[in-house]
Amino acid sequence: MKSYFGFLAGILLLFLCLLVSIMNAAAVPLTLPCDNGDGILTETEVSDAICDYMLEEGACSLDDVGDAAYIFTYWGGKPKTITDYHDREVTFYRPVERIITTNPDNSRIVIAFGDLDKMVSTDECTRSGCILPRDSNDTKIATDAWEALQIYGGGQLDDLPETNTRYEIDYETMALLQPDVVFDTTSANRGDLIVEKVNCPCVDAGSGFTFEENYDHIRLLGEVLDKEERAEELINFIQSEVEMVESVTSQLDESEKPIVYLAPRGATKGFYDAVEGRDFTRTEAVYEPLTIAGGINVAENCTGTNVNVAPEQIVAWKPEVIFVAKNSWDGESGVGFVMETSELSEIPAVENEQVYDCFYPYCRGRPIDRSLLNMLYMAKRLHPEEFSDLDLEAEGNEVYKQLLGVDGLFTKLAEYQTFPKEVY
Amino acid sequence: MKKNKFVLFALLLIIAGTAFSPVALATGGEVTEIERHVPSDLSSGETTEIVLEITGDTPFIAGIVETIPEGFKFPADDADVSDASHFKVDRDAGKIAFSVDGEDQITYNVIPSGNDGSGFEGYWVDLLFQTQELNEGKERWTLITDPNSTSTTMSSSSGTGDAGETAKSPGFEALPASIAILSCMCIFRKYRQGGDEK
Repeated sequence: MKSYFGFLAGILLLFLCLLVSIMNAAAVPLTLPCDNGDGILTETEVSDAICDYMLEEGACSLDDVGDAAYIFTYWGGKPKTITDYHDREVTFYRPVERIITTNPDNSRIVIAFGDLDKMVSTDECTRSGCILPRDSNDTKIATDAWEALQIYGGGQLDDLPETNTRYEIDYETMALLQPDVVFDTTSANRGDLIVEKVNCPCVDAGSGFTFEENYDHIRLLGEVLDKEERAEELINFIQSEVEMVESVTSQLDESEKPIVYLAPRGATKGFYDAVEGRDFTRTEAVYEPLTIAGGINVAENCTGTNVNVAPEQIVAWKPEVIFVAKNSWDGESGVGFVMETSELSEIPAVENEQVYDCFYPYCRGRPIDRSLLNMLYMAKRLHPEEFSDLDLEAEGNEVYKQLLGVDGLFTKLAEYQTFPKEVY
Repeated sequence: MKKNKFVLFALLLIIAGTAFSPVALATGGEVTEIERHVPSDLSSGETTEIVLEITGDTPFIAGIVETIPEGFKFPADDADVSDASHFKVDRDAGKIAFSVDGEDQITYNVIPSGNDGSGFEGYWVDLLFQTQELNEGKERWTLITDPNSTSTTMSSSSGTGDAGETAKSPGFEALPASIAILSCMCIFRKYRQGGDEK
């Protein structure tokens, strides 16, 4: 009988230990550090806390006084509130020093801000091939770039812990890592759930197929990470790339712009992939890289995203050019399917051999690097004379320099995905 | 001549690369060094001014603590100790702490008990430095240098080192403890099994 009592007591003790460990790991910061409780850090409060800390008195740790000093200096001594993509008001009581991202689009901007060393975990696609490239065997390519992006404490991007996959999210590990923020995808709408389970602020944010969406995305993350200046620099760079192309195509008469069908999911599985519900017959109604490059999107009057169309509709649209996205850096092209399929043979683009590869515009999101590369590449494809001076290789390298801080990545990628070289 | 040009070009490239890289652009102000100046002619019992010169890029906030040599005293009235905006004196421990917000110089007064001014010891820590480390100790406390003291040869990275290691996997500290408890319970149960029957 006594042994059972002891056993039960042990179980209770174990449960309490685990409970305390989880509570400690996931303490919700709802007050400012070193604050007297009025929600505003004054110079005196911060200075007193610092002096007490230096004399090894008081209750504030180095984390506390450092955060208090930061909030006083950069936030005016008050908590910071931002509004995310789902109109959620997110309040920060601590500066962001530990970041978890759940999708590559947010990881990419965090890296572009120089904050990779703040990331404590991320998603499977940031670790795999959505930020830096891998081949179809999942082997790293452009290894210099992998080596150049070092995480905190040393190691490459895939050395970060993985806390979510496409369908599953490991809330427990996230909580144990004590992030200051989780940047979540806009498609999941689970920000409040993450706050509840991880006990930290969660910001829903993501990129888009219009450049304005990307500017908003960059600005939002800049606001959260106090990188407003760098955010504007990045936006200015993107705007300069867009302006470089748009300044030419905006002068073109509509009759000079070819009608284009974009197959952003490729065509390697034919018209329709039953598993993912996509392939050649899936398109996008809005894809600004194409329209800014001087093409008329045949699907522009469709509504929504991920538009599925019948093959007959594509034939009826009579596109003069077809872009088929290539969904891996070294894999199969879908151009052959389009050129060799009898149902598509009467399309002007097929008849005139105007069917081309393009960059796959997705990667568990809508990567801004590929949007820019497609805009530049499509401009050269659609209007070769007008853009004869555009150096795609140099511009492509600059895109990656700006976003990832690495040199020569586009040149390396073009060794695997060679179609861009056709317009050099 | 060609070699000089190459060196100059390389230096310009390095400067430009550093200045315009995303990481460099993202960094804010920081404290780089704090130096103590103690007058060489100390007179026992006479109030003496100690100067701390702070080098850094604003904005910065630093915490400083100075321990004065044994036998030295601070003036009795805080107003006579320093005209710094924010400081606190611990007379029993012979320590003075400052909170420095962008100032490039701090002074404080002491009353020496002798002529030897080499026994000062002080540390500073940059409080706007951001790191993902949790539960930091004194790893980032940096020694205040003194150009007239032998202690200047000490590494600037040398802290007091008594803060313990930072947990590399925060939140997991309780896990080994829990496993240990579970193990103890299993062993306890094993030895207790059948005890009543005996």
